[in-house]
Amino acid sequence: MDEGRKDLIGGALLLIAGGAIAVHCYLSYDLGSLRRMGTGFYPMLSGIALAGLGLPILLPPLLSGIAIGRVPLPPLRAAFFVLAAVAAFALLYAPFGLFPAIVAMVGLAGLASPVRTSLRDLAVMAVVLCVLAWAIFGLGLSLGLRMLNWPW
Amino acid sequence: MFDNILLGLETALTPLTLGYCFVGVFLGTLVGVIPGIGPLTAISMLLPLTYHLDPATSLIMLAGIWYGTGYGGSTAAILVNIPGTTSSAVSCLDGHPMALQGRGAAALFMTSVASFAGGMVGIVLLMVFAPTISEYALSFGSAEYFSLMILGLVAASAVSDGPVAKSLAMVVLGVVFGTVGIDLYTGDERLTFGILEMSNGIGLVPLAMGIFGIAEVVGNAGSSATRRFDRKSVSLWSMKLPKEEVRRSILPMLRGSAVGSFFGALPGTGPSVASFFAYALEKRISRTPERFGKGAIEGITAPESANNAADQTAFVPTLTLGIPGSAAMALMLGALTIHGIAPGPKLVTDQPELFWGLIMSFWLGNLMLLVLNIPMIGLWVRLLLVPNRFLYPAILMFIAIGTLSLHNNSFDIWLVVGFGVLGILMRWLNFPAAPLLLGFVLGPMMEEHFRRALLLSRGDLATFVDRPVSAIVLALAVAMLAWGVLSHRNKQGR
Repeated sequence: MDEGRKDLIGGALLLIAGGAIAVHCYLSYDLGSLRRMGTGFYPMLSGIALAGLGLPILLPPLLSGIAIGRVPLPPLRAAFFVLAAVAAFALLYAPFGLFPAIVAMVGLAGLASPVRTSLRDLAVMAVVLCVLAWAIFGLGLSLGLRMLNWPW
Repeated sequence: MFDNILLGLETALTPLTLGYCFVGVFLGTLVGVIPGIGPLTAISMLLPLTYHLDPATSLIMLAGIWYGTGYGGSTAAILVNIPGTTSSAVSCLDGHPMALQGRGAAALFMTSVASFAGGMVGIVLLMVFAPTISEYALSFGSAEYFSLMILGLVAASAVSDGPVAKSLAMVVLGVVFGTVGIDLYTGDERLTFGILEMSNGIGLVPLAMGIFGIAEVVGNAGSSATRRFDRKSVSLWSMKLPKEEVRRSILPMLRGSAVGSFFGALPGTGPSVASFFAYALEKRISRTPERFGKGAIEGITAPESANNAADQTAFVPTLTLGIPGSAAMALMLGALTIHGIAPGPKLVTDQPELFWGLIMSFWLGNLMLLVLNIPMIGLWVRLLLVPNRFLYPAILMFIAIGTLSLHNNSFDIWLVVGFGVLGILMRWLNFPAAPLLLGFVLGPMMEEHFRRALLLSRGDLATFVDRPVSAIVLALAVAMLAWGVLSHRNKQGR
């Protein structure tokens, strides 16, 4: 039952995404001919294929008459905090450097688990990871990443 | 041949070269074990280091990283279900269940042995058949390449446990992501939506880190953070294997090596396709296919020997034709060009000490890996004893810094976030992630050959079935597809 409902959602998403890509390519790019293809031909073909593959996923549950209803949700709490942790890293690295980005990342990632991590553990982890990052990527590989930066 | 081997050993056995070979395989294993950092990142990070070395030594070190990550990647795949490299993605299927059953150390041990066996077979074939294989591949035109890639992708989709339509849809989604950027034929941007960074295309690393790494971290962080295995199961003692499992692995290893050597030598298909294909083959010919995906030993030994054999034979098209079969091979060619060596058919005769030195270093490197890996299994296994809530922030940090190190640009990290959302969505809706990555890598190459084949045939689609090799390969792909659909239907009916 859940499987069928999920396939309904997945198939519909593929149909919409594939259709949107195909239409976008058709309208915005030069298609050319089979012999001399333009910019949009191959992506349009891929879009059509994507939408086409949505059908065999969407149709079986639709034809077997699966009722609309609730489906189990993905792990929203973990998804939110993990993505927020990576986003915080992306936001903080350029102005402040690696260390603040890592500290923010550790703090947010710590909230992803339903089990609470103590502040002391988080602090230790942040320090250890900063030292590790400095030793591996700064000293070892010398990638030229900024460790600390003061933007003002 | 004998003279060539001696010449190669002369190059590979100098202390300096040996040292760099060791550095390469060690860093490769380490980087391969760390999930999210694959051979691409590792090779590109160490590329600047080789500027001051001679061409043979730098290529030997970079190659060491390349096949070293193969060894290390499967370790990460088995222990934390995050493939350190694409080619070890398939090892998650049976390797991780083995780790969950407390046979993690045994799985790692067999992986090392299978990788070594595959590597050995690959090297021997590379030495003996390199001229023949390259000659054979030389006669292929674009139509044949296109059909071969279709076969590879269809075969990969037939491996996935779910419906074939779902894996194929993910392949096509990967192809779509692969088209983003500048069209090489016309020079126009497409699907970039006006974002400057997108005009270079979507990077393989952010895509892989998002759909595999982030999705895996989210999937595990959400569950209660208790350990998923008991301490005793990963001790050295648990490495002991029932004799029957060892015996059952011998034939799959040989078949895997053969499959791997074949796919590795073809441009476009590489260790990833090889490992998927080897897995599919074992599953199909097995008398007990229901054991696969639940910790079957053949499910790791076949693909692991396949991807290592392919790692070695991947050098055939790269060195003899100058056609890189993968992004990593493209980096190798880049390293050659930096040193002013033109890759192409004349490389083998013009630079014999480089060609044969590299091949001889493969023997030494694989031997080092075998010696290095078995005693180190205990160390890798200890990674598992770190609780999730401590391990995952560290993995996230490596994902972020690894991505950042590509172009020193935060945009790639935002791509990771975006693909992370996609990966979480796909996991929730039960869509497999590995076919997407495969489609993404092969998509642009398929487009190139598709367009070139049609250009040559003046727009006549019949070119794909008129040419005998292409027609046979396409027929195989159709048969594979029918097989996949029917066998899934049978499984559901039961």
